[in-house]
Amino acid sequence: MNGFGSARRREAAAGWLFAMPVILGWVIFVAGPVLVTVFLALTDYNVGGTPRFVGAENYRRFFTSADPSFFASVRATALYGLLSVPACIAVSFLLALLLNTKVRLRGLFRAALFVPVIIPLAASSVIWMWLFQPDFGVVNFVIRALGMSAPQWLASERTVIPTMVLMNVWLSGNSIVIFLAALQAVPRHLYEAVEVEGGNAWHKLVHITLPMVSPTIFFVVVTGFINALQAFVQPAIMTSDAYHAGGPNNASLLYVLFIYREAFRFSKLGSASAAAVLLFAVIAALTWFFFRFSRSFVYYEAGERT
Amino acid sequence: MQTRMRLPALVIPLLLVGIVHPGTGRAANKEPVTIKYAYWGSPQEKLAVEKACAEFSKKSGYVTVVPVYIPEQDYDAKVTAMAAAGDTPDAGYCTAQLASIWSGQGKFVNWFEMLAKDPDLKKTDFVDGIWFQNSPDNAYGISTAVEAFGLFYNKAAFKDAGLKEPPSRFDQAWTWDEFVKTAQLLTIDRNGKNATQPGFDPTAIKQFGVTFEKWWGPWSVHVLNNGGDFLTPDGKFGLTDPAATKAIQRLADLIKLHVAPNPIQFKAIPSQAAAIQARLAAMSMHGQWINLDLGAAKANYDIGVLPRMDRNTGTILISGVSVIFKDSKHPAEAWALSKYLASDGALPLYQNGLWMPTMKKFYTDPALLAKWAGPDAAHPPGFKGAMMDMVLNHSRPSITYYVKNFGKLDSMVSAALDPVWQGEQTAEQAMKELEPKITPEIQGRYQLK
Amino acid sequence: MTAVTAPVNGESRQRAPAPAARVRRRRRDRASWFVYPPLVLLAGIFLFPFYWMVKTSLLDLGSIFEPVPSLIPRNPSLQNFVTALTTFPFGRFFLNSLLVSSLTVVGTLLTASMCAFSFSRLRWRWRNRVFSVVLTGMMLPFFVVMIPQFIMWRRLGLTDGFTPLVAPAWFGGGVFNIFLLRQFFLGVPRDLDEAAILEGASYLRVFFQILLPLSKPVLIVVGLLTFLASWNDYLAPLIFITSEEKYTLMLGLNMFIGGYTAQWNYLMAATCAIVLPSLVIFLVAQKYLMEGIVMTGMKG
Repeated sequence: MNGFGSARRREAAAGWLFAMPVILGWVIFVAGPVLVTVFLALTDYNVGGTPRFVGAENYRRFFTSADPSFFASVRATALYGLLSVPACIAVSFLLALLLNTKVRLRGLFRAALFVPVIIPLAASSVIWMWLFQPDFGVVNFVIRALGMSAPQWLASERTVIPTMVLMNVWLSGNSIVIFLAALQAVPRHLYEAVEVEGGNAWHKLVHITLPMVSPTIFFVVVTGFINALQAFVQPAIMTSDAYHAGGPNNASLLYVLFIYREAFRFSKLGSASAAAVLLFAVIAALTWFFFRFSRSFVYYEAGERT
Repeated sequence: MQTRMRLPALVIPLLLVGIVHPGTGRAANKEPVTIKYAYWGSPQEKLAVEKACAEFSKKSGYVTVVPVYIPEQDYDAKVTAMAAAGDTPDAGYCTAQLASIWSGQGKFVNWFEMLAKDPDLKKTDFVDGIWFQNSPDNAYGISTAVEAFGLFYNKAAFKDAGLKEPPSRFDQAWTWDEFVKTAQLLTIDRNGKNATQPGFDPTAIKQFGVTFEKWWGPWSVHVLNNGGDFLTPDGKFGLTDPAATKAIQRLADLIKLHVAPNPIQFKAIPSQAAAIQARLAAMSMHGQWINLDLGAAKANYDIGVLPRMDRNTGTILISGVSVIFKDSKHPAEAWALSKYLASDGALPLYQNGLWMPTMKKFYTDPALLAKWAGPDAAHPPGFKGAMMDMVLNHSRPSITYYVKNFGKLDSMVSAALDPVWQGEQTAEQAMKELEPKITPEIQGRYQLK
Repeated sequence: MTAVTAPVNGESRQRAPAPAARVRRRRRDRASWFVYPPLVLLAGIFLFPFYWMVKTSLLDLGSIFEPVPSLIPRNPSLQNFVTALTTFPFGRFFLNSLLVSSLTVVGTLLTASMCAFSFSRLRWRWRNRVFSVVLTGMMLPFFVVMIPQFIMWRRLGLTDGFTPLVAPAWFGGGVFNIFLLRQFFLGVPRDLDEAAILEGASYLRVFFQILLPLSKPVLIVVGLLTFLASWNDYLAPLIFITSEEKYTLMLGLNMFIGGYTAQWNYLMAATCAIVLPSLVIFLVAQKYLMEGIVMTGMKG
């Protein structure tokens, strides 16, 4: 009918209109630069001269280990992502649950857990580096005082990634706050319904909390991965210096640090762009994967699926 | 800002007029010129550079220098972005690795060429070995300052141990064994035992005998002192030679003997100066710039010459590069400013201990010497012998001055040396393993002479 | 099918429980005692690095590391704060940061929620496809887009200004935020919107008067996180700003690190000072966030 058709059109028009800012933004700030990057990935551009087309040469160097640090970087980043995301999600969700109870001084505890996020990342990386210094740092001092053997933390290729994961968990205040807002939004009467039927805290968690909060959990997992794959400031400050980027035996040469090094230390923007394109592809694939499988375990109150 | 666009056409003929009347410095008929000078540094450096730029502006009468400060750790990123957009400064600092790459693209003005034309300055006015060259005739940059390596030590640590302080004269340098022995006596655990005594606990060290950092500076000086080199004279990988591996291994053995902390672990310590001050270590093999921090803290320290290996001791010159960009629209002014900052403009930085002069007159003219070389808090008694004399008579340029593609090569060597410092490999094993991987990246040496 | 009290005048109200129920609830809702020890321990651990930062800012360079670390600084002095904040014009930097961050937060809150509204509650062809495409903007490290963006701004003559820093916020404000808001909006029942539309309200009204008021918690979260990201941003100001008088606080902070030396104690002192406004904003945001804003749905 006429009215229905035009209502639909009105809605569609509104849809486009409201989404205009980000569509324009994407074209200007994302699409343009990405096209340039894709183009540069096929050249040997190094800022001084003019870009010269070299086809897949950059990728050949990466994948045939002509540049051994490429795979080292991929390994390090994958390890970091796989350790960091579950750890952060688990800890921040647990903490959000704890903070959602009527603990006295709740506000104070919440503030305490969030403070790490407020500190500029560069400064907290330096402090973290000092605290974990193997010979004179506070952490090992305490460990030795307790009679245990003191690990080398950032100085050993075996422990450098776990140390950075630990720092990332310390920085999960963002997720805690997001989870808290989500927990707060769960209608209270749902919990009352469970109580009326004789359920305990566990039932409440599994049957009400988790499903209601699942869109948020999904969000935090996806963005957690994307952020982990792009970590730069911590490895740069804690394990690199003016001459060597990447930690003991390149064990903490996370991918974006690798890109940074190619682009600005070695002045090889072509090669750096090639690496960036790969990162982009991997993250896009991961995100698509997540969205595909989200339908089966994410519950939406409004009955709306992605 | 629009005037800037129109200026170039007018400035050049006016400049010619200015050059015909040298030595005046005042040019009432000159159009005002603005030039950008990019640099990095700690607060003291920043103040000193800004002051020097302001003074230069005042003296010239028509040039306004805009100092562009860029934090050092991201200097390369920012300057690269500026270059990509065609927005380079007129002159300024550049990191050695980036400068080396860009010099191959002809981005910089040739200092030798400018000096040949200059009425006031000649190449021989400068200390040898401070030029960044990519051929005998082309100096794409000058060392921003002279910096050299020496043996810094905490006097109180020596006094408490009842030991003789390190010599500050070239001909009295310790042998390596003497040095190691002293370091052992100065490595003390939390129970007060030193490393030569039974019952010494290496897991509970309170004071190390000596410390050094793991970047190319501290180890390459010993390699060079021992007769080795990063690249052989004919441009092959030189670190597999016995002279080089012996030097590196000796350093690694210091860690094995527990007299030196593992430099990978020690990286977190804010600075070698802080380590000496707090007596985390008694000695440090490091660069002369820490005179600034030690002087500012009025620390109880002095400087000795580095211990020698199998040959005589020596030191290396290291520095960032000061360059003039060819794209500059005001090359004459950029040149004048660069000259000024390499001489009188830099005096405050010589005085506070951060830099050493690149011009000979500061070492030979007694009136100038008195102005900066102490003795004072930043220039202890050992400075004259351990630094000045070594720089003038027993120094050579470090590997960044003559190894092509240095940035990439060094990052590979650095990663390969990590297991050596950890004691998991010997220097020889690590370098031999690295050789086939690094050889394709070697591009040879710059010819300096 | 959740019980809802439609918000009147954009306000949501808490249902007051009956007196007997209130007493029961209070006893049941009080957290068990065994929640406290882990919380206290965790709070202590989380705060310890911050304490270390404050401690460092009271010391001189040589005392940052001692052979035996001490919890209480031996010769604390506030001199570092004075020196740190006067060496560089931090007052100026503060105003710059404030300007940039405020404009960023406003732009983000407005445009991100607009876009999230479109992607979650309006039906239009290609909506999901466009969203997937736009999502890719989240996946780029700043380094990658930095140089092309810099060249673009330079061509427009807008480098060395705040425009490059603030503009992206007004064009969707970061896909992360759109994503977050979208997730929240998807969980809000649509009955209210549909009722309003049927009564002839425009989408603009639905957006401003129905959806936004219901989304206060998530909007506060987005505002807070956006503020922090902007306040602590270092890379974008580094690349786009050249003149010192336009520096933001983070750029000012890095001036303490030189090529050969770094004044860590001043840096930490200045960082403590910079953290203060962020802390205040967080405490304020927290209060509004948690003040019993209860989401309720429509009956039946």
